[in-house]
Amino acid sequence: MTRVLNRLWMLSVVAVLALAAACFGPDETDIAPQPTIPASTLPVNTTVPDSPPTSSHPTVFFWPDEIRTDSNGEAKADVWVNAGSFGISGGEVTLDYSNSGCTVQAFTAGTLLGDHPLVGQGNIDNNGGRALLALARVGATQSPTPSGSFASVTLSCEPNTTVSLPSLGLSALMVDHQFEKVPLTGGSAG
Amino acid sequence: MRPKAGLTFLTITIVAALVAVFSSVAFAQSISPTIYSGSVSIGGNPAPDGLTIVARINDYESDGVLTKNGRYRFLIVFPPTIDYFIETITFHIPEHALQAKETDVFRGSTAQFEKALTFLAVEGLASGPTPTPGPAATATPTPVPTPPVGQPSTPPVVYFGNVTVNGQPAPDGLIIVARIGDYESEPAVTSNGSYTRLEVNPSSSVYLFKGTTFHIPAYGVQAFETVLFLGGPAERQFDLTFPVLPDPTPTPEPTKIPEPTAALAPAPTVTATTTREPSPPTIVRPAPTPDINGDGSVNNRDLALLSAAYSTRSDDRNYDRRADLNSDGQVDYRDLAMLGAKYDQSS
Repeated sequence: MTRVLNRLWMLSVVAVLALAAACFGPDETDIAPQPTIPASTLPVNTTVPDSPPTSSHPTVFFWPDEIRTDSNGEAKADVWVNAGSFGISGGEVTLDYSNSGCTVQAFTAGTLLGDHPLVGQGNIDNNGGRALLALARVGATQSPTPSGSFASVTLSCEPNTTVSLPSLGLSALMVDHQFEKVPLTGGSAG
Repeated sequence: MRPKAGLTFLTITIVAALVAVFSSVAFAQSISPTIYSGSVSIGGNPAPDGLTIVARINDYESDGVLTKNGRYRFLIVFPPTIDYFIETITFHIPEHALQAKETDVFRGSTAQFEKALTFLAVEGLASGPTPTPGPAATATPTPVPTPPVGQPSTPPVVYFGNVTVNGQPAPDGLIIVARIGDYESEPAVTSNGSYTRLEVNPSSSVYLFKGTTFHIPAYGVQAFETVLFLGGPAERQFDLTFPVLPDPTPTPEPTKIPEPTAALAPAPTVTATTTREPSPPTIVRPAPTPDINGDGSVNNRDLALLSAAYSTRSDDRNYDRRADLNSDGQVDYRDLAMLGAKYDQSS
């Protein structure tokens, strides 16, 4: 009987500890703004799940930064621009993916520069592993420009795998509403 | 016997619950470190040994690592919370309040990068190809101070090379000078599309590790190329590219040095006061005209011309000066943006 009581007492202590750990664990606000679902449960061909995080500095990055390919090996991501306090009237983005094991199927304009931006250059060289897209807004540029997708890239990689997009070398150059170069950070900002 | 089995089952359940709770806590807090290694250069030269490099994200500062043989290794960026996610990482040498030109964005996922860091030269910090000897384990940097202002001048650097103006070989007789801050070299004169013996010999080592620019004072234009002054003695080929001269038919001929032989001599007879004429402080550039083909409309034909010349520089065969709307010697995204601003989609 004494042994049973001792075990019950120990179990009570353990239960109290468990309760305390659950109550004083990290708050939801401390959790990453990234999707918290494990990669293995991400829907196939994931697109931008939410608005990407904002930044006070003009930044360029892939969003999402990790994607899972579908059974055909395809996946899509955006080249996202946080414009900060700048107006963005145009820019050039280069992908260097020669060692990534992926090819680029499409590299198209996003919505950052309006519905029908000018395409000054749009090259995909899957032999050399390099793609370039140069775009300009038609007409006047609002400053600051709301953040948005500069371009969408469709990749072809191994089927049903997770691709870490920073492994695709991203470099970007942006120009402001006065046609001056924007001091970007992120990727390999030029 | 039955109560014992029940207690065992209860114990296993509680332990399983505890494991689940703690593993979920760990998952929610997971930020992985990013690790950087790479070369470090100061003023264009490898950094001396023993300098501390740190990374910063807003108020977070990483542990420092020391430079050795012009490199840093295993700079671990691991901020305490996810609040630093997607914020800018900057790299510093705190002892000298220097910040590297390069930055990155903290993505909070495990990654290891080779990242070269470049810092501007600063007085009091040696930056040379010969690293300061010293044990890498000591945290105290021992920078070798640069000679103070007023020290004897460094040996000269003599430049020579081809000169291109608006994509064409420069005409004979153009006077070219080099400038580093307020220093201006003795002139050299173009001949057969080139220049010789442009001697850069400032009077003080304060000009070391500063940018050298090249000018045609008569037209107030500056070459696109610049170079850091690292001191001599040295003789370097350095080709110069100038934009279109503001006035293609200047009424006064560009000032020539009276005797070419004097100009080519090591000590030109022309005095500084006669050759260093005051030049306008700004480069004169033609007004941008997005109507590249001059048909009165900015449309897809202009876009086609610009696209054909895209990514070319003034010395490239496909360079089209008309598409270089900001006259900076290259056709790029800035010219495209200027075209877009005036683009008429209806035509």
